[in-house]
Amino acid sequence: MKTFIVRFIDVITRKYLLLIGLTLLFIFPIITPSPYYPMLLAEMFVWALLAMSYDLALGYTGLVSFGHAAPFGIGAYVAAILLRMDFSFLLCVLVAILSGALIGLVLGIFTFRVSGIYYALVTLAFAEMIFAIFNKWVEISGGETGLHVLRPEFLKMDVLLYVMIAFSFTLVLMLLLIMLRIMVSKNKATINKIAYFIFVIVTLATLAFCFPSKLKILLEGSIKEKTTTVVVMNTYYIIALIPLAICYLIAKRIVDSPVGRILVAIRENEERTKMLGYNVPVYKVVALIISSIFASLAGALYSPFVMIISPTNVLSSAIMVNVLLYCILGGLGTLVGPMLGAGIITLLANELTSIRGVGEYWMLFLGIFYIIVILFFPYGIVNTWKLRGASVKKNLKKYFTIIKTYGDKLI
Amino acid sequence: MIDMNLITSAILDGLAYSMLLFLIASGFSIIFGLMGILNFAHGAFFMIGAYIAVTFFEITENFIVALVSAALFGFMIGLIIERLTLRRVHGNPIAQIMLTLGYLLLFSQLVLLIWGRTPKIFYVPYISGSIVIYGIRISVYRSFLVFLGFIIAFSTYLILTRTKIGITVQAGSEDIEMVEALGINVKRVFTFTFGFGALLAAFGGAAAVPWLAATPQMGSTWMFTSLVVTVVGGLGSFKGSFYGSLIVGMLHGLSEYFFPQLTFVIDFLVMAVVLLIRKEGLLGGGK
Repeated sequence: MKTFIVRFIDVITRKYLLLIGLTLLFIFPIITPSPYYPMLLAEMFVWALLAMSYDLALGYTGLVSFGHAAPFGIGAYVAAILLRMDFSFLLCVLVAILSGALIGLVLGIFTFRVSGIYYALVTLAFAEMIFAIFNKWVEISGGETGLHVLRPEFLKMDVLLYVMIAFSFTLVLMLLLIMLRIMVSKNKATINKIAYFIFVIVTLATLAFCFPSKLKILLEGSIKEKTTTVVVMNTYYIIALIPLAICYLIAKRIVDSPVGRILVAIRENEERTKMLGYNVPVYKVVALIISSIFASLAGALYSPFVMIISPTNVLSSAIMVNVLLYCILGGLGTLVGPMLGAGIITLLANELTSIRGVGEYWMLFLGIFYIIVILFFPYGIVNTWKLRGASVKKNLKKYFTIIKTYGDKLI
Repeated sequence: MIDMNLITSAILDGLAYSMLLFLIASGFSIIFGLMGILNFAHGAFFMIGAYIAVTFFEITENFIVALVSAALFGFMIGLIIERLTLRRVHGNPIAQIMLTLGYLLLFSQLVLLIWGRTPKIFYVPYISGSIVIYGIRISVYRSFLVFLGFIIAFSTYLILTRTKIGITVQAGSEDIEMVEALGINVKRVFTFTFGFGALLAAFGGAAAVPWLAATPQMGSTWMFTSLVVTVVGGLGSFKGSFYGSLIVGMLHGLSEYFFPQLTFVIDFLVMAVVLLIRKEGLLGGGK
């Protein structure tokens, strides 16, 4: 058992695991039976993108910005208004990103000289002001009833299906490659080979079983009105996933770059960074603009997803409160953490609100959850893993050794 | 021809609103000055006070009992929250903000569950309605609120300047380490101050019910307005919160009568202007 695990980790290196995970994510709509899960995951991706963008400001640069709903909501509104005017979706997203950058710049100019608690207050006032303006300006925002967003036409086509097919073939190829490596490897223990065979064959069989039926649904989807939502959700899933993946890579690049190190330095000690000769206010504005760009992109992706947006829906401080929870739960100062937090909370929200008798209490649970997380889990998932992960791994290893010795004794 | 009735009621509304704002903002400001906590749960205390007053008024039909029980309840909740949870995250501003935000969320939902979505209101028979002086109609309850607000403001000022605990609180906002070095149990002072702030807020909430009714949204709306007040007056300054609430309350009252479409924006406009010109607020400084 122990050797199996060790060998498994040897063969399936981090790189392979990442690739397989990504490919699985891309072909996920094909292997699930109902359109519910792609929909849920698509929502998760949008919130994950927003949470990641917030963490660039809060977790990396240490900017306690309470105005993060503003770029998100503005992005959502810009995309919605342009979509209503029948522009192409790509253009909508680009304009939304530009407007997000503009909002970040304005917010940055407003907060150019303030820091600490006043920073939080100015950004909060800014976000609330934008909320109030949109709430009153009914011709633009639709007011309380909200604005109906027209979904772009291409979401109804199944062109992106081919993307998924391509990715599923990549996955198959990758699995075969790994199998080949194992077969060729020096370890001749047949038991391992059998285990790998089972693993690969089960994966392939799952694909083979799910794929044709799903394909049928998808192909019929373009004809039948009934199944269009399936197609729309599958396409939308990809539309949300690709920007998330790209933004993650960009954010990772930024965080690992010298600029990213300076941002962390600002978080750790603003005075000292200033003394070292860095122009701290400018770096703060840059961080805010980057964060706002990602947030507005998330907003632009969110508006065709929900179809109806209103100021309370995309601009209110409730968004900010939720995103703060995602970041804290996942772990501040990491990119994966906030995404993880967003995924967990969105999953919980969707699953719990659908249960009758529990759904009404969801916000109450969220409040309690909020307090519990801060009191007992302040570092978040990823940071706790970083702190305790090594000992967990060691303990697991010990556990397996004990099992093995017991097994040897028994034999 | 300017309508005198309109002007007097606008001013009276503004003053009464200022006094309610002062009751919530002063506690908020003292807590920030002493403990450095941006206490987002303060609006929740205001709301809890209002609902407790509604319940006690329904039971006893006595306004004084309702006011006192709301204040005591607020005090108790404040003490419990500070002692059991806030103390654990002392010195970590983000955790404090998140924790108090969590309480705001939690209490808003609890109120929604216990008392329902519909606004609750009660009328106190002997101080409701209005009287006419020289042809000008004056609402009795709003005048009572102004009177009450001034009394509370004055007595709180006396407590802060004339008692040992008050002076400790003031010294604590100046230099907390020095106070600790002088052998004062700062943690106990923190707990007391937090409870006292909650008491003031809950009292204000209870006093607001006959005029503005208790709604589940009042927690967050009053929270944000009191934030504006505190910023305008200066974070951590008791006097500043008094003048700040007068400014914001009067602006609010006047704009409600003369420019109703501006009412929502005006709070944040005032706050933005003050922050840009003098970020410590009118009377703030030092910290």
